[in-house]
Amino acid sequence: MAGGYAFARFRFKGKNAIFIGLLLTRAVPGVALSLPLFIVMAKTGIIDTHFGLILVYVAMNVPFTIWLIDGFFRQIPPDLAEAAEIDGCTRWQAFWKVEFPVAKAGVASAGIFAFLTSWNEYALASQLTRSTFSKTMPVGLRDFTSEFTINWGGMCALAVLLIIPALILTFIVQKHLISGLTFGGVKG
Amino acid sequence: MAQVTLKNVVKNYGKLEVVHSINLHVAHNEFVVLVGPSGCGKSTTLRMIAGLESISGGDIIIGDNVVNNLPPRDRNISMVFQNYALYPHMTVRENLGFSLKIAKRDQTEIDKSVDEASKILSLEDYMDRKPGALSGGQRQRVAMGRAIVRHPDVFLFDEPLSNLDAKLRAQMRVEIKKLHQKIQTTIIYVTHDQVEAMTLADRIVIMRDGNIEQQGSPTQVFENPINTFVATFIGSPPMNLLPGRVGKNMLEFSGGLILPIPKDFKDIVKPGQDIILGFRADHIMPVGHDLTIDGDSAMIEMSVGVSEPLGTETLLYTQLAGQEILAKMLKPRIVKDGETLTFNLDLGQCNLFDATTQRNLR
Ligand SMILES: Nc1ncnc2c1ncn2[C@@H]1O[C@H](COP(=O)(O)OP(=O)(O)OP(=O)(O)O)[C@@H](O)[C@H]1O
Ligand SMILES: [Mg+2]
Repeated sequence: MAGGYAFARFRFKGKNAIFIGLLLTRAVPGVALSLPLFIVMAKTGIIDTHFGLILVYVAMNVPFTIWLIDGFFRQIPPDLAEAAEIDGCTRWQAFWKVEFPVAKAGVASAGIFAFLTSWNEYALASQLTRSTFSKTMPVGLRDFTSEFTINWGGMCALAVLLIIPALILTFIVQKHLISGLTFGGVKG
Repeated sequence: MAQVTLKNVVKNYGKLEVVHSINLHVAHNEFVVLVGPSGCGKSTTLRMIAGLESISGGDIIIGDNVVNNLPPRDRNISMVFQNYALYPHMTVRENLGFSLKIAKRDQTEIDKSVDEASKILSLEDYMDRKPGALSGGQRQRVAMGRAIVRHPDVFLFDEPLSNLDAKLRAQMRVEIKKLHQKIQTTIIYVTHDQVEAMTLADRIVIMRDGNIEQQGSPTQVFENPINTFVATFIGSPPMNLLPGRVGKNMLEFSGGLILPIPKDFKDIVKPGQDIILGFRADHIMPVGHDLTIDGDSAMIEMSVGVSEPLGTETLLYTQLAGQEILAKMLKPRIVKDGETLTFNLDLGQCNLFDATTQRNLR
């Protein structure tokens, strides 16, 4: 999030190059990375752990989330933060008290997006996690298929469980998603 | 005491210099209007005073302090933005009280100041609405309210009325003037609308291309423009300009038109000099229509191209020495297009400009 804000508000050298670099990382299919990732993680010993998988997901999601959030902050006129600074805020307060609440909707949707892609991800998870302890739910689904039979009942049950957290999260942030974007303070 | 002084203030964007070493002094409680065409550096100047834009050279002094490197919050100024910049996620009440809350004042004091401001600007009925549910004029008042609750030393306005329709603009103009009388603070006001400048200002500062062209009271800049740019920029309709040449004790214009040299300029001009004669529509009127002239005048015959009746007066578009010029008719009667009338030109009210430097010869 801080990354998106930085891109939207501050002018710094090489901004465009970094930005394009970030987006290019999205152009590489995740599966193509799985083998190199597997080797690196095996060497560093974080294969088949939660920590390892989280690290991979964060790395994969950050560029796109930055890009999304950058877009939301860009929509907020810079005058708002300037007005806040004149009203006595530091740069930091202007961000937390004015810009962040206004962009909440965007940040929330970026959050959901990042959560859902990680939550549902299968290809990488299936290769980087094995043990019952560390595997993710989509990977777990496959345990219900054995050589000759498929336990449909169990699989469906897990699928429902899989959906529930995503549903709950969506409900929680829904309020912000809908009500957040009131750009009435500034005449467009 | 809060006077504002700019000493040789310069602004560069990279290699581009957009404000060229300007000097300006705004006295305590004075209402100064910065006016000029789009892109002349008015907003940049104002934002440098606010601290939203760094300065590339010179000094800015507010009160007795050099504020060159102070952030906006330490300058005790308020600013009203063109697009209002209200906080969309807060109610009107929260918007008004925001600055005091940041300053950690206690709630009773905040409530008192907010109520006071809402009364001055008659916002009482909207206090619990969000800015999105207000009209343009109401938002504008909230923006002004947010600026006054803090009792700042200096108020900065950047084209606060340009998003409003003509009628509301006239109304808000009066409100701003009343506000200044009520709260007695130093105001620096930016606009590109010369009517706002004329009506609001104690002193007008006319800018062009990052320079200050002229400053003075509204009447001074209206009657004695320093150059042709100010002459045409200030006043509506703009001043008529007729290029010509100084002859023997007279002014010669194309098409054989000859006029006497206005008395004030007799000793200044030299024969053969290229000049521009400037006069306002208010000083050339058809004979018999209420132009009182004390001093020299000249009679000119012109045929009216188009007439614009405005009720109490009629604007007459005519041709003189190959230039379109505007004349006025008070106590108007109906004028037929193409009708030829005799006009009286008040020479005492004329200005002469040098044709090459465009500067007033006075
Ligand atoms: N960030 C910037 N980088 C480069 N040039 C800029 C920047 N901001 C403004 N300028 C230039 O500075 C000049 C003055 O701009 P400014 O905004 O002060 O004009 P203005 O007088 O307020 O005009 P307007 O009436 O249109 O608001 C303009 O020529 C503009 O192009
Ligand atoms: Mg401007």
